[in-house]
Amino acid sequence: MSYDDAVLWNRAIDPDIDRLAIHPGGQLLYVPTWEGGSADFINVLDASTGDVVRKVYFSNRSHDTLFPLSGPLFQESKAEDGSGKYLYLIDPQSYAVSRIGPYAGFSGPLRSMA
Amino acid sequence: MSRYVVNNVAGLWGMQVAELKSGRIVTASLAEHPPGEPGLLHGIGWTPDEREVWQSSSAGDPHVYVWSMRDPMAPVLLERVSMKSRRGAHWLTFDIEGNYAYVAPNKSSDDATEVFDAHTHKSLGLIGSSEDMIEIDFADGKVSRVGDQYGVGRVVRTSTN
Repeated sequence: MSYDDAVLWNRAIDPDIDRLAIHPGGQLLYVPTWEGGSADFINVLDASTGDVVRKVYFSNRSHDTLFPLSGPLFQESKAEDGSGKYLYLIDPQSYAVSRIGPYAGFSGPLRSMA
Repeated sequence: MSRYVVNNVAGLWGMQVAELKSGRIVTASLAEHPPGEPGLLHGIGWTPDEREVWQSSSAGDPHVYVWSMRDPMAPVLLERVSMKSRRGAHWLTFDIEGNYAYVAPNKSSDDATEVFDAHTHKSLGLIGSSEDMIEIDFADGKVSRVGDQYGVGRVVRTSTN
């Protein structure tokens, strides 16, 4: 496969976006719906087209998705209803959502070790 | 699957560490910090060898805090590294090999991104400011390795134990 600088697609994603993560294989994008937003899901996009292939529901005000080398997908939330004090783990195969917490406050940027 | 995750948490001078298998969470507090509320400390990342976690402070605190993660559930503060800008930092990340730390300034700041030796913690210089940074390596004209916008652990283990 050859590479160039061509933009593959440029689309608005409903309802909004935040800092996203990409699957290690490159096929999927995991896109939060914005730390100030009310949508209670993130969008999973086909990286080659921008099509939404799935929504994963957990809480609102999602931002800064992380897909570390060993997985799983980590998602934080700034929700103010108490759910923002948890860190959400999303299985990239089954999309099952689990969580750990509560933390002392809503969790901001996070990082994982392999 | 990842084993530990470090978090900045609103209202905490320090960080919290979670062991994913047990769900246990511990708090590593900064004994010395500027007065007032911290808000949400922002940049945080593991060195690729997973021996340290580097953590930005509040917008007004010109320091980065380096934690020893020899025991991930009992972090020990190793060093408080000063920023040349004399202002706070926002995001931080490392090169894939773990030789350099890149600490970006406050959001929308005119300050530079400061580069540190990740082993000695000494400042090496300044580059243009960007909090959106990722290392992409090329070999023979093709992408060969991709880093991460965040500082994430890169130690490869053959066992999950």
